Amino acid sequence: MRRSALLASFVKELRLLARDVHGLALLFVLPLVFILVMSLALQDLFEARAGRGIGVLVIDRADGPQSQDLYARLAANEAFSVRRSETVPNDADMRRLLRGSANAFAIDIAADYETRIAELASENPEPLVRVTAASDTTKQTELIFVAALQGAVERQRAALLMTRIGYLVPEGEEAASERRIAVSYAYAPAGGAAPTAVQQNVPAWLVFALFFVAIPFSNSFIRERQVGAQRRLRTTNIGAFTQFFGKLAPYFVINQLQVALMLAAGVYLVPLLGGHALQLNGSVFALIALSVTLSLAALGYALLIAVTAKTTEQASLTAGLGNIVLAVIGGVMVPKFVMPEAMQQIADLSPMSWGVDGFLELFLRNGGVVDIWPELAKLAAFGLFALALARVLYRPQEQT
Amino acid sequence: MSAESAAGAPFLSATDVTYRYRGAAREALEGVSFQIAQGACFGLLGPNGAGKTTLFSLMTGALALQGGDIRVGGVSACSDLPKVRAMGALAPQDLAFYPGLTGRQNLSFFAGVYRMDAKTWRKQFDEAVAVGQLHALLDRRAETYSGGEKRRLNLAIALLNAPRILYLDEPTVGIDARSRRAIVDAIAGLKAQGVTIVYTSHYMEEVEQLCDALMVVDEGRIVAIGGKQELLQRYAPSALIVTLDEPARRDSLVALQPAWQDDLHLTVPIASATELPRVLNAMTAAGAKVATARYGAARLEQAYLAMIGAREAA
Repeated sequence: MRRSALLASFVKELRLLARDVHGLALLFVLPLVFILVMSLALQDLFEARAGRGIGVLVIDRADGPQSQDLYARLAANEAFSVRRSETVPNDADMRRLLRGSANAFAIDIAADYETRIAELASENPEPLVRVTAASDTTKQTELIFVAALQGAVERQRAALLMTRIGYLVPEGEEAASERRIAVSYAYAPAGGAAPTAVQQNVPAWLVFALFFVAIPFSNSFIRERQVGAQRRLRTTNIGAFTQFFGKLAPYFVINQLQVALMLAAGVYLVPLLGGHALQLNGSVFALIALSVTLSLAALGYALLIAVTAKTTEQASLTAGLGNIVLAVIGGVMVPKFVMPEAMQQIADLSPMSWGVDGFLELFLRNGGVVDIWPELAKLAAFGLFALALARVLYRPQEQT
Repeated sequence: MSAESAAGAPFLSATDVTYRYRGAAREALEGVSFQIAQGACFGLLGPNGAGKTTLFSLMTGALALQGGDIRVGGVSACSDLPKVRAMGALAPQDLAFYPGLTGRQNLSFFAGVYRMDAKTWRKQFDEAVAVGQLHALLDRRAETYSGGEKRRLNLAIALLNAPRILYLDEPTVGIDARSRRAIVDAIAGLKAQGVTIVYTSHYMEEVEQLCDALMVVDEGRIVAIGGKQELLQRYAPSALIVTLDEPARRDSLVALQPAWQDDLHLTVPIASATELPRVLNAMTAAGAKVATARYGAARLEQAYLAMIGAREAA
């Protein structure tokens, strides 16, 4: 069986890559560090924005059907992250529980809540529910929370009173009332939610890492030209396409390993360090398609730099700076949803932005291939155009 | 100008070859025609920028012809470039391999490029390693090789596809005398096996030793072409060629004004035989131990300078 020039080129490139262990490690370690640091460091910021509920600790002294109903009403509200206290603390314990915890409030439901909730005119001056705010809870948050709590108690009272006078609240009424008001986010795509820190940072730095292969690839390509190996290869029948694809294929494999590793870091490593786990929602097939087209775009970009740069220094600088510019405008370093409208439009010009958008569509909105079709098409078109342009620009070099 | 390099059927023939680089003010080659006989060693000489590298690139198929034709083994580079490429191999002046790979890995990669089957690979690998004397070096990274070892690997890679015509672009540049001797001997061995060789070097001693026919180019045109003896007789009739028993200090022999010199060899131009005793005595006085001395053989260095001088005068 004859040897394959493509396979020989692939193996040669892998061997050269294996020699540069530090460069190779950088392709994996650098984005991994970014993912961990940024996911954990920005977790609170993203949560404030993306809607993880206000922490509420519930001390239920009544522990009856009505107090449990109030608990359920609060828990059903996405604005709150409600947790039941295992103990019934005194005032000092309450302050201790709130200090240094994720809870903004503790609510203490009175022991006689069950009987007093439906009283029409009570002489009892004691409140039904006491609210204790944590020291770092803002006044704004307090007012909003108290209003919501008031609303929940009043709706519960209204339902009880109507039942008392013989009016049965229709089934589904409560659920229907939730749908009367719709919320949308000016900074997120239509109908979409804003991502959490890990949902934003894993795709963002993953996309950044994929484009980073432009540096080692272009350096390898230029060194091959400098030592005269390309001239020698031009006297054989290997052809430019075999040469290009033989060199690009190992980097495609590296790109896919990067995707697997970064996603695994989001799913398994970030939660180990105290962050939220990345949820790999959406279609697996769409995820693979996105990973492949992203790599195509990154490799096209890499080849374009390789054939246009004259020295390794020039290639490193162009690829490095180019990556940073694409990342800055593409929503990697600054999430797109916090950008003003004009900047978001500029961001849409960056292939990195297409990649990040694709991942967010899958992870946040359970997307499939159809949902990320525009991103896939743009990435594939960019990659193919860059590869074709690189081939055209390489032609004059074959005549020198 | 056109000439056949030596007796025998031409294996390579160039007809009216013209080439101009994009943006260049003049042609790198203009109307160059010549023939190289099967199994000959053809020396291609000329100053830097004369057009030698361009001609090498056109003959090897690295550049596409713009005007004229080159036929190798009867196949036109214009009509079947892949076949022309498959018949030849280039050992470029640059060390055209991967310094980060071992000798074996480099050879393996280029064997893949030539799409060899396993049997051919084993045979050609053994031959290339033997010619390049690389046995002890195969599993070391090429970047750790000495200059001479790198040159030998460069040559060995060119031999992998069993070329019928071998293009050697300054294969001994920048290496010590011993390594140079090893490479020159290897090339002589290939020539003896019937491989047609196109050879360029600035070491005239090597060219004179190896080549049967010569072509001198300058500014993209042929200055002189013909059999080696014919050109030497025409342009440089006399010189004393000395081989030493042991290396002599270079500066001790400077007074003799040698036309060419390495550790063990030197060439002293002399006007007539009456000068022989004076020159030999001077060498003895300088501490040089003469093993052999030949007089009457024409020297290529002189001839080459005379050819270039004649063109400039014209």
